[in-house]
Amino acid sequence: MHELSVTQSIIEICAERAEGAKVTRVTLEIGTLAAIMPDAVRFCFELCADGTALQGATLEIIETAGQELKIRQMEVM
Amino acid sequence: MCATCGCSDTDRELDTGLQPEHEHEHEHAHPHEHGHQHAHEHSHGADAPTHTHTDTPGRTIRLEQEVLAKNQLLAERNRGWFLAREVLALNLVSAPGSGKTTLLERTAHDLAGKVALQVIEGDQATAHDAERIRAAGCRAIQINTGAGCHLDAAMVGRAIEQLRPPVGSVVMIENVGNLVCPALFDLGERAKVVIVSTTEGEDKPLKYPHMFRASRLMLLNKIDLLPHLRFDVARCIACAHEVNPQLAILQVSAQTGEGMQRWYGWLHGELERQSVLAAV
Repeated sequence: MHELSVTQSIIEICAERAEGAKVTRVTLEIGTLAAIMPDAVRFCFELCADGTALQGATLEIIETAGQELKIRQMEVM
Repeated sequence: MCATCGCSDTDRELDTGLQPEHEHEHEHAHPHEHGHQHAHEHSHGADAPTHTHTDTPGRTIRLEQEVLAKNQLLAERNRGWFLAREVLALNLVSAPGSGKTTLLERTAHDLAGKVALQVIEGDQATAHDAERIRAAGCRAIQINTGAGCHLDAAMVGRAIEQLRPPVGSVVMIENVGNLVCPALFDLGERAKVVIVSTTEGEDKPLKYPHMFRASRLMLLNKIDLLPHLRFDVARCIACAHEVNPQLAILQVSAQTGEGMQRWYGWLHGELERQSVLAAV
């Protein structure tokens, strides 16, 4: 379940970069060799986003072939 | 598809798109100051939109941010701290029950007076392991991760602040018994040492390839039990080398002490290398 702490990091990074704005969409890149299960991240995301600037945000995961574990971009309003 | 705006228009399968001569309607939305949106329509072509849109409904921020960057940064800080003090830090990883704590007890006992050794113990709960290590005459700090399944660089950073390992000593970081998550989190160690025991399956390296790929040394523990088990040592080594051809492998028994001298030899070699690196 390291996906939980990884998801918490994702939320922290996005909330900080949003500088108070509401985040509506987050796009991640997760590589098959990153040892991270996209489904587990999806499961944790809603839970972790609750009560933060990311509450209700849509999560998009782009599955790549390498070791990527990256936040590509986010949409704020 | 309309080549001007990308909307689908089944009546015009081929549209050169050079001039927006076509006329059809698009729907889009504008945000208003009072915070909600209304959709309305524009036609284009001859009747080009006459009003301008100054409000953007949202904006995209490109981050290109590595999720584990913060841990990586803290790990590098730990690594620098260890290097400056010529401290050899090793991250010991294995499945639960492979004998990590027994291995450390034996190591602390055998190297007493020769190498200053201290241990950072990671477990979800209890201070049992730190107590065992202290009883073996070694300084130890227990980290309880609670729900967490691995140690991270921040936890180790806090532990070394308390532990203050002396110059030229060895810090063994006994990670949470787990072959999955600890592979991902750099703690600032010089190397990961993975421990497998003969009571486990020979194909464990194939089942948990990330960990074996991330490690530099594998200790095959509990070799004293081999006569009683159907464990194929050669197959286990072949599996380990299949996922990591560079992996060094030593066979030991922390219980009887068999093969432990080779492990101490490896430690001395690494300790020397650490002081050479520190001098650079």
